[in-house]
Amino acid sequence: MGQDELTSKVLIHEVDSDAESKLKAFFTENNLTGLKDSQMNVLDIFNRNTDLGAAFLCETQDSNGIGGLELGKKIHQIRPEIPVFIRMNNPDSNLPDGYEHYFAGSYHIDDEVHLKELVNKHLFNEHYPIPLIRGIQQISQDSFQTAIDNISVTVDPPYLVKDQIIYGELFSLIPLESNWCRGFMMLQTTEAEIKQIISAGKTGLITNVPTFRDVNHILSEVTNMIWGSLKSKFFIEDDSDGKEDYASKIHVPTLVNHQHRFISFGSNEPHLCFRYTVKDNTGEHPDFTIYQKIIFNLSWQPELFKESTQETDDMVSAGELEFF
Amino acid sequence: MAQILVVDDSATVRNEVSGFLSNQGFDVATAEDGKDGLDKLKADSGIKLVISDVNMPNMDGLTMVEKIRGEMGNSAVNIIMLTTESDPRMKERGKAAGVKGWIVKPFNGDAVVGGIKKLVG
Repeated sequence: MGQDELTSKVLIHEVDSDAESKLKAFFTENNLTGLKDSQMNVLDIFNRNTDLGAAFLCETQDSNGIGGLELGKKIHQIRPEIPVFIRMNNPDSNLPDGYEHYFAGSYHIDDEVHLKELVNKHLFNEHYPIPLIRGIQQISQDSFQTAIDNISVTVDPPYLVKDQIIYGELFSLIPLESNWCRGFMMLQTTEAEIKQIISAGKTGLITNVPTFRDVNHILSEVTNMIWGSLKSKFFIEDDSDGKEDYASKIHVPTLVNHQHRFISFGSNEPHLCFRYTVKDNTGEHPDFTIYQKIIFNLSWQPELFKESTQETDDMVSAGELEFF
Repeated sequence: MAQILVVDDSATVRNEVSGFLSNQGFDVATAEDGKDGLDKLKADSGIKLVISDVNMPNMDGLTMVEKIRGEMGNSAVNIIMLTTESDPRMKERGKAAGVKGWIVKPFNGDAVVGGIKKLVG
C-alpha cells in the first residue's frame, strides 16, 4: 500500500468463516483494514475505537443469539454517521421493511461488484488530489521536527474516517479556505508525553514544570506552522476575477459534545486522516501520536485544485531574509 | 532601551528569536500581538527594528505595520515580517505598508543576522 493511497479501518462482525475469508480478500484489494470483534462485544468496540470508517455485519445470528439486523439498528443509534453494510444469506434477499434506514446497504458475499459500489458510494466517495496528500504529510513531518528537537516522525498511509470521535486529550482547529474547498485542519494528541518533551528542553519553551497551557502552546505552534505552509502551497484564495466571494461568507456551526467526545462540522462526509508517530531519537521519552484530520465541509470543488508553483520560482529559502 | 522588538503570539518563537538576538549582542524586547507591539514601540524610542509575525490575535502584524507607518511615519523604524505566510500577495501588502523584509518561518538566525545588523546599524 502506497503512502498516498487512501485506506479505512472497518469493523467486521461475521459468523461464517467462508464469508469472512472472502471479505478479508475484498478488504485487501480495496485498502480496507478489518477490525474483528472476536474479543469483545461489538458495541464495546465502537466505544473503545476511534477512527472507524464502516461496519460489515451479517444477517445470521451469532453465538449470543444476536442477528445483524438488530445489531445494525443499535450501531446506527450510537453512531449514525457510520455506514453499516449487512451480508444477506440469500442473493435475492433485500433488507426487511423498516430496516432500510439503519443500513447503508445489503450485499451477497459473491457479488463483489455491488459491495465495491456500496463502499465507494458511502466511504471512498471523494477523491483527494495526490499532491495535496503528499504535501500534507511532508509539511506536517517537517513542522513537527522544527517544533521539537531531535525527533523522528513517521506517518501511516492516509485513511478515511466517518465516526467523528475525538482522539486524545487536546485538539487544535484552524480553518482552511480556498476557491476549491473550505474546511478545517484538526490536530489531536495526548498531554503527558508532550509535557515530558517540554521539561527536557526539546521545544522553544523554557520550563521545568510544564502545565497544560504549555502543551496547548506547542500544539498551537505546530498547527500554525503546518497551516501557513499548506495555505501557501494548496489553499490559495484566488480573487483574481475581482468578484465578491459569497461562498466564503457561508458558515455552518461546529458542534462539540464533550461527554461523547464527538465533533461535527455539519457534514457527514468522511474526514481525511493522517496518523503520525513521534519518536524521541535519544530514546529517553515515550513515543506519542498526533492525529491530523482534514475536514472539507464547504464549497468542495476538487476539480479547481491548484498547487502553487511559487517555491520553484522563489529564490529565497525558508528562514532567510528577503529584502524588499 | 531595546534595539529590537520581537512581536509574536507564540512564546516559543519569542524565546527562540529573542534568545538568538540577545546572544548576538542586541538588546531585545518582546510583545505578544500587534496591539502590544504598537504600544511598546510607542513607549520606547530606542527601537530600531521590529521583527513581527503576521497572523496574531487582537491585531495582526500587517495592520500593526500600517498603524506604525500611519502614526509614526515611514522612517521611524525598520520592520521585518517573520511568518509562515509566503503568499506573494501578502508580501505585496507588506511591501506597500512599508515592510523592509520578509522571513518565512522557521527562523534561521545564522542566515539573517547579517541583514538584521545592517538594519539596526
